[in-house]
Amino acid sequence: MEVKFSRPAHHRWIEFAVEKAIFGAGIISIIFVALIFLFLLKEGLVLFRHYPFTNFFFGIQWSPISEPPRLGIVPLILGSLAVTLGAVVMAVPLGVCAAIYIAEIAPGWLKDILKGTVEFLAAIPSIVLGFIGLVTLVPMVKNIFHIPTGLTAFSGSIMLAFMAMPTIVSMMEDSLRAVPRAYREGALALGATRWQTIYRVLIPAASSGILAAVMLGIGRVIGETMAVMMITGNSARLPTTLLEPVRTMTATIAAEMGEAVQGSTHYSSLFAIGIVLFIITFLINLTASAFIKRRK
Amino acid sequence: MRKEEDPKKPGAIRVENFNLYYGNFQALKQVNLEFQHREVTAIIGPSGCGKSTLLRSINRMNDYMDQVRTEGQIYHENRPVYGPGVDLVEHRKKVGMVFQRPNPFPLTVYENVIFGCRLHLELSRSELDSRVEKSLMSVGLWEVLADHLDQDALSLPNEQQQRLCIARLVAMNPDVLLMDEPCSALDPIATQRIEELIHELKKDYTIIIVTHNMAQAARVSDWTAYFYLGNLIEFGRTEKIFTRPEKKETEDYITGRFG
Repeated sequence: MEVKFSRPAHHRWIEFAVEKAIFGAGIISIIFVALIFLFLLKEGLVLFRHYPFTNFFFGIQWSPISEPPRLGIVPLILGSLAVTLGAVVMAVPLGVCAAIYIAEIAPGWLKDILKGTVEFLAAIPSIVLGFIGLVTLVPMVKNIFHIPTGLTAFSGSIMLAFMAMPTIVSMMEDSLRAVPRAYREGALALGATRWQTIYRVLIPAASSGILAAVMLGIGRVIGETMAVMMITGNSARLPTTLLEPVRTMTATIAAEMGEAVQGSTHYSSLFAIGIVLFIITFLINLTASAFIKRRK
Repeated sequence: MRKEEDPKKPGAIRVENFNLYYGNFQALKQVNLEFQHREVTAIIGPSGCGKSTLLRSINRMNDYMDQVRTEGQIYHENRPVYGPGVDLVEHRKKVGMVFQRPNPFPLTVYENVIFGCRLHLELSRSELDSRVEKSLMSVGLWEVLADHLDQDALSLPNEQQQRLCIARLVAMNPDVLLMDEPCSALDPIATQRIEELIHELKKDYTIIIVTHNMAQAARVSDWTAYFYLGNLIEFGRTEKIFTRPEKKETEDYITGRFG
């Protein structure tokens, strides 16, 4: 009797269809990204037809509805920078310690609880965090530092540090856990204590993952909008200390997009801010993935 | 001719009535064994017989596993290894361990060698330099690596990595070297050269080597201990174990009838 090995024709057809469908789904996401970027460029670059490039990038005053409008983004960039740096300074040391504790010191059952809880923090909508910050953190900052308002870059930093924690802790913990057991045993067998093993072997071995976690944390912070808008006071002035109201790039776009007349200089300047933000975030993610790739 | 008929001289490591349990599973059963100074003892036996467990018990690497429980005692130079007053750091400085897969740290060759010294000793740069030279020399790496001390240790070939792991123990002047299948990740030529190194090191150190390679045990060791299912079946001079074993089980394993 003859045995047939070839599959029926409709099998081959399904194979073909599935393959193409998956390919299509993959390519669509790339097309969307490209289209979004092109749209951003198209709407944003128009600005420089009417408004000098240097005034935009180096101007220190942002008052889009004055006559003539002044669209210098230096205060906004500094605002974002102040809030981000403050958040990083708080979140990174805390995150590193938490990650080390979870990965190396906590007993098995506690590990899962802690990691789950930290990751749960990421599930809280930023507007909720912002609201909680507004009613708890802002008055606290005001009272502690005896300043006229608690709506400051510092308050924003604290809030954002919270938001960056899940990313930082979770990724760092993964990279610490990925350090081969052999390194651990090697160090312990040489008489290293647990702490010596952690800081002499594990942290250096996990360093690229740790740096990547920090970069992604920064990316998360710099792109955050709602919470900062609620907490940082939204005053587009050049900040001199962290205890002053600032306005970030993201908050500017969110706050002014509604009132800007479509097609106006103001409108396209907001898109131009979007381009700057896009480029910054892109560079941060690029650095992060370079760190991740460096890991063997 | 020598140690076998000389029961007065205590061994470097003495295992007494030692039991080890992983949860409910007993991995070592009433083990009594003595390892002689400056001689090589091979521990052989089929997989799961407890040979690695015993080796790891000697410098307490099992402490980090969950649910490990021990009974009995191990002595190093007559000092107990288990118990409340034991200084683990001191113990591990004297009893070093080489693992199955070479595990140099992701650091330079130089930093790998002096890793232990940096942990435990305050040494000047020149003292460190001389330790590095001495240690690398004693494992036969100095000539190859003298000009590459800043090289990343992970970029070395496997055999050199394993030598480096031995060098970083030697740098701390230990008494005992524990080797857990040190050649299992190496090719035959590299294996032969590590075996030659073991011969060299024997002059200065007490060596205990776990191996699943019986030919290797026969080549490198002075004493052999045969384990099966957590029991020490037979212990004696290597030439005797391999030529005239007393127990039938030992003979079966060694001749390859089982295992």
